[in-house]
Amino acid sequence: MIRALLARLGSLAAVMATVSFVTFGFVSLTPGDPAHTILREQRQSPPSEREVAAFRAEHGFDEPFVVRYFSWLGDAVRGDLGTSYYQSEPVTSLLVEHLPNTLELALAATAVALVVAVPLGVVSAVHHETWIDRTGQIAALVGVSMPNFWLGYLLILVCSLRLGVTPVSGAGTLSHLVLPAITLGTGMAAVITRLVRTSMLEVLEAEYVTAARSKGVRERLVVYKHALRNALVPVVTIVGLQFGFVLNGAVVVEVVFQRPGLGTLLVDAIFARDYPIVQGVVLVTAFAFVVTNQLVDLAYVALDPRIERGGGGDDRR
Amino acid sequence: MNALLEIDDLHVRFRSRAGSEPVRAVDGASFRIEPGEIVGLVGESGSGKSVTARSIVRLEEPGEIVDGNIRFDGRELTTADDRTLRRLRGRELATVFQDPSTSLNPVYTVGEQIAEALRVRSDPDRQPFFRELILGASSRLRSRALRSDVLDLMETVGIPRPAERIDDYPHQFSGGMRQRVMLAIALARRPSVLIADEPTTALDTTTQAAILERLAALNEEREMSVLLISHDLDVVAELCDRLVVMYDGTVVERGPVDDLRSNPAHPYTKALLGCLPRRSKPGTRLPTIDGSPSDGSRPQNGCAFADRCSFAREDCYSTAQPTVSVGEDHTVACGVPDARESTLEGAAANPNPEPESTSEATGTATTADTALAVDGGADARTGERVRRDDDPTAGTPIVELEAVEKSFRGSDALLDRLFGTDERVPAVDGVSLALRPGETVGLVGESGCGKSTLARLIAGLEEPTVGAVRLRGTAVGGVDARTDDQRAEIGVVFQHPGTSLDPKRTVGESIAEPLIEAGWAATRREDRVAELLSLVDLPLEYADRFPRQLSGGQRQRVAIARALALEPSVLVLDEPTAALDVSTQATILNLLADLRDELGLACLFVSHDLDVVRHVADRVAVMYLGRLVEVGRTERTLSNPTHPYTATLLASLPGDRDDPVPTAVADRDALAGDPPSPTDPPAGCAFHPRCPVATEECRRREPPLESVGDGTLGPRSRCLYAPEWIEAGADPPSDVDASDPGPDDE
Repeated sequence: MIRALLARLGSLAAVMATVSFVTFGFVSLTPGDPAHTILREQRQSPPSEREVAAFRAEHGFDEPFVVRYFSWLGDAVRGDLGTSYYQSEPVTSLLVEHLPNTLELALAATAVALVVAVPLGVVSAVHHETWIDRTGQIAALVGVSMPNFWLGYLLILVCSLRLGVTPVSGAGTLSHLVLPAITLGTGMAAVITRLVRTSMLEVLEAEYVTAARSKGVRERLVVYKHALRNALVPVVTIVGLQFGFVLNGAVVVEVVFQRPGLGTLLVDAIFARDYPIVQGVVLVTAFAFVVTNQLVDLAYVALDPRIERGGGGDDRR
Repeated sequence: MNALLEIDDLHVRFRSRAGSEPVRAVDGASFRIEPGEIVGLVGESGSGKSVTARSIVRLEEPGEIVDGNIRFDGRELTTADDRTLRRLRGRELATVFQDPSTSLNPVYTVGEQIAEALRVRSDPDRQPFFRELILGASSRLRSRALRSDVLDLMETVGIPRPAERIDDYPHQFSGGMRQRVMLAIALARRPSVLIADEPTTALDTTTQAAILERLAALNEEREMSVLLISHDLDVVAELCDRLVVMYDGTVVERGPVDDLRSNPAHPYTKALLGCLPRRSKPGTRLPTIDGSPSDGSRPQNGCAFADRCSFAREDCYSTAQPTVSVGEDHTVACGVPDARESTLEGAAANPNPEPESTSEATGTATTADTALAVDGGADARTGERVRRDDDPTAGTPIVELEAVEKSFRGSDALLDRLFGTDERVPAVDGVSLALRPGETVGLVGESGCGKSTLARLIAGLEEPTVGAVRLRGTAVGGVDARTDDQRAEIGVVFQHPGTSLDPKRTVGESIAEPLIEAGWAATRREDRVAELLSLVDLPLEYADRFPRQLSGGQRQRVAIARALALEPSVLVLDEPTAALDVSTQATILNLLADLRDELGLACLFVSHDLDVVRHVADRVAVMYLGRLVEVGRTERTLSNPTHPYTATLLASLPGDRDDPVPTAVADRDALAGDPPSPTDPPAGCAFHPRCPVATEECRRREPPLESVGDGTLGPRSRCLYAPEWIEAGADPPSDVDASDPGPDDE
């Protein structure tokens, strides 16, 4: 067990090292010189050569790429992701400030998606090829096809402006969270509904489901106890992957609802070529993605005992 | 009439795709089961026997009962509501399905799955939703009372050390043990009827014997009726009081088991009995049933079997056959007196000499005009094959295994590999074996003994960890390391033709695949495909069909044709008939025998069925836990075994025997337990924990595989007491087992 955990951590470290290198490399390769951009912004006129050179020296741009990468990496490991060019604030504290909002949004969106999608997918599968199934399928198609910024504005229009039940923008309370979570969760819900349906249809054909019926088990339990747990294994994989996309989607949704968060931080930083922040956000997102997928692996073990338990020569067929 | 369960004129249909006729799966089946009786339901696949069984518990989906009645204890089931059905399934009618690897839910512990049945039984109407969900989520069965009931049940069905296994998951059990769990789930309901649908078809003969024994005992103890379904008449015959034979959805014959077996009246019953390898002389052609099993889709008047019946008359095709009584409680649906009265041999030899002569003709034709490279060993094709009983060491071997070892990694973890701390699981352990031209070696053993791995080693699909595989004297590695010529030398046929053929390729494309690999030109390939199809007795137009349009037997013919594409001198056959019906098995075995004789092939025939091996093999190699425990000429080894394991395997064969097996090991439950884990083999002789005649010495010393008796010609055995087995002939060594406290594993 401990050895398995060590192996996990090892692979996690390898992935993060690769991600950090790619992030740092790509940002450095981006055309446009931050020295020029930032100095011009500050002085409202083109900077002189000397000023540019001084700015570069201050931020270490004149060092070779590899040296910069390793010094950045060394700092990053110690929790120092540099200082914002603009706001002169440590990137780490900016991240700590913005991350909770985004995380809250992503989790709420995932929860909304699961609560809607799992029952809908199951019901669609059980009532395979009836009007219930077709309605569910069409709803899922609409959900997948709808751009989330548009859905966001639509919700604001109806719920906030017409009905006045939720605030238009901002963050902090539960009522601030409702609309963004629904906006962000809808696309995910649509994908998961279709997946749950397909997976359930397959599992419902399995011999052990027939065997459960032959035991006299109630149909509702046959579906939710015997079939669903088996059907969730592939679903969990997709939820894990989707979580990454939810973080991406948060960028748009945060802008629409003007929620402070990683998304708004990232968009502002990109326009300003504030590289340390861009690198920091990308790194944190990647880290969240990797951790989520490790959690997904743990969820497999909980769902399907054939994974990681027993193993060895125990399985003789 | 006080039948417990009565099926009356049952019709079940499957809706097929829009437009086409619905498939008539069951077409007027009637039979009944009395309290405490065991009834066998027999027929080929597609005869409607499984659908009938499932209809009884109303799980006929996606089929549909369109007519007829099913009555249990006076209650009509065809119109019963869900609540009644739940009660009946939970308390009265229990079902065991064919394949225990798919019929247990993989995500719940076996304890929970048995306990669930107990809970349903105690209150079929309630079943609180959330309580059940929560109980399922726990990986340990908590309720103490329930736990002890479950342990009792596990003990009843013969699961060793139930207390250690109750919280294990299905994948941690072997096939036989899983089927016992299924049986425990069935018994948890204390049913009045147990419906067992091919309960042993997916299992080894040894496990099969143990499970059937258990069923018989339970029937006796609990006065529970059993409906036992099988495609193999002999398997069920031993246990049953009465038999019902189904063909194409109808019952063609039914009667008391002894009467029906000694005086089968329907030509189909006769054919079914006749095509069993154990009823034929080894090396002879097996009687077969002409034509292919009906698929139930065409509308019928008259007898469904007429197409395949050698006694068929004009009116058999047009009028419904009368049900004739041929004995007490023994009826048959056949109106032709000649057919009813002919003997088994008569039925096999009767009119229709056609198949024999046509295959003879095609046989010679293909040999003549394809001029296949044949090097020796092709005996004259007489009715009875000349068996190679000569000195087994004569002739240059084509394939030789030299102390071959193969082990697999126990885990895949990266760190384990880095530190070399991974466990190696030995699959094949020091096997030496030679295969000569024209010779068939049968490789037998239980599942997991390493016989398939050995076949794969010869085929190059695995590479030996230690030792060498030699092809014509040259050591060869895996497939990638072999030259084109070396690859062409060996053809392989796998167990499941359904999965070994690419469903998206036509038969012709599948057969041509190895030819393309070998770089044959397109026109030459076409000719060769045509030759190969005629070689395996398939019409040329089959080249354009897809595997799903073929029956199991036809698919296996295609697989054989593909294996022969490059004119191999060796054919490796891994359980080639295990997935087939007995009637199809007979035709495939005949085909293989013809091909071997025509082409002088050396064959390695891997099988767990000793009857099949006895029929086809010149020599037998018996494998246990990765090692050969006995090698010898077929007749000798299978009538005078020199290793107790071989004797136990023989004892587990179903059916009545003309020559009862020599057996110290009449106790079939001897092999009831699983073989020991290969990761942790027992000290001394690997077989001692299950050996009925093991001594103290056996626990300490592992004997080598040594010649017994008459020098090089004799068998080789790995038993300490082999010489005594030889002397004793049919009797076991007498001086053993007195001091033996008994094997510690069952």
